Amino acid sequence: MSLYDKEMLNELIVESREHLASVEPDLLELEQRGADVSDELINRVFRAVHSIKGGFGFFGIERITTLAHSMENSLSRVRNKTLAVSSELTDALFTGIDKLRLLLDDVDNADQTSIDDELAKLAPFIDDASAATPASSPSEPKRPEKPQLELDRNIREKHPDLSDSQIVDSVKNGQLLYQIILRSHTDLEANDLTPINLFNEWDKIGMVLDIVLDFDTITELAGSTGTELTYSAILASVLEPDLISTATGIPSEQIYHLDTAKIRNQLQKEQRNTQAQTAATPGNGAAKKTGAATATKTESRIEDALRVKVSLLNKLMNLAGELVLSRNQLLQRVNRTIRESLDSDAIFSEVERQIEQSYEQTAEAVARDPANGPQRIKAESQRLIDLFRQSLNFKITELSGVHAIIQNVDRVTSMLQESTMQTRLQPISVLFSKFPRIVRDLAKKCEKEVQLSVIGQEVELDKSIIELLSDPLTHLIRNSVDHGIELPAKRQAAGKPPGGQVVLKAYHESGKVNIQIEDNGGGINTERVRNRAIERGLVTAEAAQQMSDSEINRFILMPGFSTAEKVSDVSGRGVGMDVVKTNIERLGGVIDIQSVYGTGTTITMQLPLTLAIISSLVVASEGRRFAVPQVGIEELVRVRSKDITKLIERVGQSEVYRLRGNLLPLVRLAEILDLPPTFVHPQTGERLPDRRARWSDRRGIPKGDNGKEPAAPPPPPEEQKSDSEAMTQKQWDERRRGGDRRKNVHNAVKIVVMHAGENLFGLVVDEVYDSEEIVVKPLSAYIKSCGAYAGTTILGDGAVTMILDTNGIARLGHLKFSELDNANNEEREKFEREQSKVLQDILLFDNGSEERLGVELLRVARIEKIDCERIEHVGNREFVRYENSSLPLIRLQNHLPISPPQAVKQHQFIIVPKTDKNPVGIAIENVHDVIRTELTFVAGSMEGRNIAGSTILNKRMTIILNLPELLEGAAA
Amino acid sequence: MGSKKTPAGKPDKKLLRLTVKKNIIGEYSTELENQFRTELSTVNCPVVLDLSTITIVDSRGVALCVGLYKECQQKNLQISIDVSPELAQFFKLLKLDRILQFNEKGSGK
Repeated sequence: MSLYDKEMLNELIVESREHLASVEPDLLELEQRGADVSDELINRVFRAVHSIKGGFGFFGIERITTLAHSMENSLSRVRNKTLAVSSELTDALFTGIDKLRLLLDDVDNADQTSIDDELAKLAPFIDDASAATPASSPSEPKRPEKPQLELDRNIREKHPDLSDSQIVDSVKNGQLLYQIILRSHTDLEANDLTPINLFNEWDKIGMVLDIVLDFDTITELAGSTGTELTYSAILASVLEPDLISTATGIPSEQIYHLDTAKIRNQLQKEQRNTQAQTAATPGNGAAKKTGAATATKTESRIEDALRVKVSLLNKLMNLAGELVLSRNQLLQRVNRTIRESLDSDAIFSEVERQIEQSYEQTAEAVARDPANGPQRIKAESQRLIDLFRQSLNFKITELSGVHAIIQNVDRVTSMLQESTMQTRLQPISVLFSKFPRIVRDLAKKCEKEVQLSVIGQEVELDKSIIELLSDPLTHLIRNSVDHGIELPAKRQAAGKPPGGQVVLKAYHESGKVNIQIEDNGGGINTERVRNRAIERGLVTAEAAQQMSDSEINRFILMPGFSTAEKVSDVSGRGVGMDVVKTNIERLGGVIDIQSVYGTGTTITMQLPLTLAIISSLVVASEGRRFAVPQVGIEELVRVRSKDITKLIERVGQSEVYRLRGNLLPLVRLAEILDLPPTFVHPQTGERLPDRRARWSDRRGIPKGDNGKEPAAPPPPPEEQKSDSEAMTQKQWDERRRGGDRRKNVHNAVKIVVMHAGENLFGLVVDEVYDSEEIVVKPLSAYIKSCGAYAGTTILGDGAVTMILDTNGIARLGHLKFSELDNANNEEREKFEREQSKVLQDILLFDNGSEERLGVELLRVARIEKIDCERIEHVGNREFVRYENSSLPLIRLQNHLPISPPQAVKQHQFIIVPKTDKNPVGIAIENVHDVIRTELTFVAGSMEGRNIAGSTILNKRMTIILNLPELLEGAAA
Repeated sequence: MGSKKTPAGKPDKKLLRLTVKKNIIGEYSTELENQFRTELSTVNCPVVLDLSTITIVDSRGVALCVGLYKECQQKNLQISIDVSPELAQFFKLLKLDRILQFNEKGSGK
């Protein structure tokens, strides 16, 4: 096979796959409609199968041709109304489609693959006669159809039986029409061919629409067999004119290519007229509108769509990415140039002149009036600064023309990039279209009735995402049918209709695409999942009880987790959901499970529109920059150098960081990537080798290999220090020994908290820069195999940067999350314990006596300082005027076993407690402090009326008031 | 010889049945042409060409059928053909069913 043929064959394979994909939904519709099948539907299926047959017939691939031919035969009978559509027929056709797919996958060996089973399944539906000649049956009485389409007059006269519908079908199917003149002696006998054999051969490259035998030359029996007969055949084929002669074996001068372009134009014109009429006619049924829409869609597909190689799109994408980077570099460069131009001589000369002039004038003025000298100098300095600013602004204004151009370049580049991105987007229907078949087959196998509704087929996603989404989505759909939807009897017993429903929905939300699989089946038995999780030791019984249903349901995403009692060939091994989760996370998506036991389950996946441009965080380790995809980042943590030894420690083999009650295993990026550890010298800024094995090393003064203290490094060169930094060798040595260099601010540990599946881990980096939108470029296979990188990119400043693969880093770090689980549980408990201890703000005061008193601040509304003259006495009770009313005053010595104030002062504080009824004021002497403390009462704490207890606060025993009791008693 | 004179083919009978038992390919058609001419010259009754046991007829065979038809037409003899389904389909494709009366019988297989 020549290279040209190979290329053609490859194109044919691609086209045939598309045909097969389009046939499946049509076959399902055929099955559903049964006797009510429309001609257009059956013709569509017929044409698709026929195209496959024709294409592969040309290449002489027998098995594909034969199988397609058999399928076509059965469809032909359906079309001719001699065979009714049945479930058995669609089964046989689906089997044929599956086999054709297999054969297409390995075309080179297609003729060595057996198709006997498929043919046997199709055999009952094939009419022997039609098997021999699958062409339309011209023997049927022709419909009184008046030809409308413009076709060569001679052809019309020669082939009066050639119908418009045959021509339209062929043209719609992208076939070309040929008239072939065949001479019995020269074309057939000379090649040892019989007409029937020849027409059967032609049937492999197209469809013989009509044959006219000219037998007028024969007038009697004598000599009849020696007379040459002329056949005129009309062949519809996808083959181009330059190939048809070779394919048919007939000289090209006997082949006449009918002008189908005219017919196509005519069809389109009619189509438009029909649409216009449909639109103009009020009250047209929805079905008609749908039909018109479908037709328009088909036509527009022919006109607007163009097949482009993915490799070319990828190249375009890369070029657009390069352009973006070049633009960024251009912007940076122009900005720098502007800045540089601002330093130019013109500005400087002017400023210099102004300064000199100013100096002279100011010197004179100061000499004249020394008292106001400083003000004058200050004012003059300000004038010079303003002048300099004006000069800068002037220059920037001058450059505004350049800015406009740059902005335009920026805008156009962004638009180009966006449009190029869109070329990679495909409607999700390419993926969704396979599910009706899957659901049909599976429902049949499980003996269930399941109706699949697909919504949002037009939603577009990046091609690479669609490819990666196929497996997870298939699994979820299978799960819904196998596990979700119940058997009809069970459904009816539960008061549901016998047929279950699965809804597959795609929609945009917040710049992302949501894909939802919803079923009205049995739902997830959360209790069973909970028990299984406890059985498997994934969670403690206590913790499991506290988890929400949604949290419990997430256990089904764990590898090997299954509640199925038995493993079927459909599902039950607990592998699939893990695959789902892993794939979705790899795509940067999230998955959510909502289920109501007995009612149904909804699984929602949220995915980014594209993987080609992602948001990333640029970090650095050992002076090298890396991009971390934002989707994998949970949060950023900076551990101050002084807290390192406290917060980072070892558990088992892992170094861990205490993150809010969880032990976060740490991975040092430099170690994973085998970058030699270094640190930045705080004085010199130099990057030096770091000898520490771990941050949690608790060495105060580093020791040498021999255990002795190493010689102190030489002090930094004088020229590198500012005056204030200059220090003696002795000072340097002291600082070197006394202060741990790790405690320098430069040595704070920066942790990027990332997801590794369900778990979190900390990636330790040296620097965290900015977030940046990056264009992901693929890696070559050998770099990819190292596992740490997801791709590469070029940053805005032109630097090539590797993109880290979050899961890959976790794998390379050999993180053992299970090892941490126990420690984590303890840590979590401790954290929770700590959290459960209530910290309270306590107001500390005294009553003018020795005793120190305290009250919970949250019970205090106000503290007022009052003049004692405002206190009024009524009987043995005291009142104070407060906010236009009188507030009863409580003296604590009357309610507590404490001493009275030692002296009477002119001013006094009163505490106004928060209370809804009977407001009072509590007279106190001094307010000392408000402290936040965990209020625990000491052993032998004071007890009694109006006392909550006593404790040591600020090194003194403090009596804590029981304010509610006190207020209640006072009111009584 | 693929055809034989049946009792019905005798001149005093009312039907001439011309039975062909081999596929009509190549020179065999010339042989049949001569035989048919002989048979036809002796009768004046309806003719039946029996091709019900064969499946392949080449272009000369087609010409033979057309020639026989034209001959019968000239002699005002009725003619019909018994054909296998395979041949029936083929003849229909060539629209011979418009001039010849077909009786689809058995199978050539």
